[in-house]
Amino acid sequence: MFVSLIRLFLRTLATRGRIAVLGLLALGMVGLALLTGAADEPQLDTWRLFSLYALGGLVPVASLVMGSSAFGDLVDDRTLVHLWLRPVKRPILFGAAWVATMTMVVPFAVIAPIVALVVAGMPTRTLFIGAASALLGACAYSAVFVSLGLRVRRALAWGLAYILIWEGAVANAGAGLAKLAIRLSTRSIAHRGFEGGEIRYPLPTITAVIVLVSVTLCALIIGNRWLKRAEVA
Amino acid sequence: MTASAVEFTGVSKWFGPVVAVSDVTFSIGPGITSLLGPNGAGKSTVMRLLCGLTAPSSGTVKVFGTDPRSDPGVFVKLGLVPQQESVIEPVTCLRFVTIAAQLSGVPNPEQAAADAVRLVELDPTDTRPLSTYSKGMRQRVKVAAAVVHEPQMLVLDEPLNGLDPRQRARMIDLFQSMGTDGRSVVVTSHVLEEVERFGSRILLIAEGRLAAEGEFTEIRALMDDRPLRIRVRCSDPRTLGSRLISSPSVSTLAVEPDAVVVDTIDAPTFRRELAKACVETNVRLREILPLDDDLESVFRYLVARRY
Repeated sequence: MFVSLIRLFLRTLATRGRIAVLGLLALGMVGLALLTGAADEPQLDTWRLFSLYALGGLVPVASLVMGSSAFGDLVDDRTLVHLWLRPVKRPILFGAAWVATMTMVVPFAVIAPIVALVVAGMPTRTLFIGAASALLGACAYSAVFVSLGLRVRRALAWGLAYILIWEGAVANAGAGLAKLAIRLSTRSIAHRGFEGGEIRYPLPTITAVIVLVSVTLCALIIGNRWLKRAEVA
Repeated sequence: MTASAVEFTGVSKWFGPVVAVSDVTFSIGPGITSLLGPNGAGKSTVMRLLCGLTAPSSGTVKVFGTDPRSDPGVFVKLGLVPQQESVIEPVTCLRFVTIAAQLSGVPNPEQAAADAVRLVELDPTDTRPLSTYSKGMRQRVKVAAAVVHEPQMLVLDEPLNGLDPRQRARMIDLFQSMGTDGRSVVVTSHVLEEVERFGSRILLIAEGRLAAEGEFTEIRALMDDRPLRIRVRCSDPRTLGSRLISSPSVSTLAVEPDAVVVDTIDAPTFRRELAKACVETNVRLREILPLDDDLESVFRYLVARRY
């Protein structure tokens, strides 16, 4: 049953438009990594690229595009009723949506950036820590945006506003607010993978991991509760 | 175990200031039950409450003894054909129904899905996605998905929309056979003739309230008892009006330039007297038009009678 649900969500998520847009963004990451190879400090520039482009852009955007659509599409075209009216426990339904979202997000937001790091010749330790930071970030963002898709109409626009305004602007404005941004945690973890970086992130690794896992769990619990209480059209 | 499949007790539902359903109490047992009412009467909200798609603002809804909002397990016994045309489009008809069967825990989902698809006269080998299907075909796909797990209760929201006359007859036969099998079949409709063909018990919903309930013939009798307003276009309204005013079947009468408008509480007697009056006064009839014979006016009358 769980696998059937995941396959169904994958079919609704895997539209040509979404794959094309995210594919281009992912290819852009690899292309830019190739260009940084010619820079004065190729490893530092590649690491900056990973931090800014992948953790700051690709991970949240890919999670938003897929996550907000998992339930958002079904709510918008009023097909959620076809899943709701089956004897499926709501946590299973919600979990399937999240796993399907992650399945679609990982190739663009985790694998492509790691390929970019490989292309740029980054060391193995950096690859592992980079992958862990992107994966944990994708888990948290996806859980948040899958839930958002249930709660609001035009979740894509709301999510984009969150990424640009909160994560991009407000959280950068002060150290205190920055702690409330998912991006700070992913970058704090990733920073351990590159000792030469001049930028310091304030969260210890263990704290950053706890924050990301907590955000993921909270979003899953809240989203599941929203699903149980959803007014299905 | 409760005797009724569905129990509504003092159920109300409001959306902000709008009251969609007001203090409705009824129960539904085996056989076909029609929720009849004009558009906007609250039928679909009652359906949504019944299927747990929305929570009541007050009162309780029980389906097979449990709350459908909190216990998804009840959907093993329940199938719904929702009103909306939309289906999950990137899959084939057979795949859509197979997923429904899998999620409902049917032992052999592929076979059950193929059987259900054939039952609604669609082709299980069709490889086209549902996005290419017509409205009528989608309606049948939804019926197949609703019956694939052989539910004890089938809920149908305007199920005949988009179907051609042959398919309508086929679907009515299918629903009737399920009703006679001892299952509960709940159908909403705003078309009286459609409900008549189901030959069912009726719950008449108007303005969010339960205006009447009973067998079709009882409801029909209630409708026939109500006052009727009739416009009679004729060659000499003044002469005809003078003749009809003394008739006991006429309660009020107004003369217009080309017609007489009559309120009657006994339409059959009035029709006989009208014919007789026309012959006697040598007035030529041009048109007889019931002014309030639509279903909406019938519902208004029944609601006014009750409250």
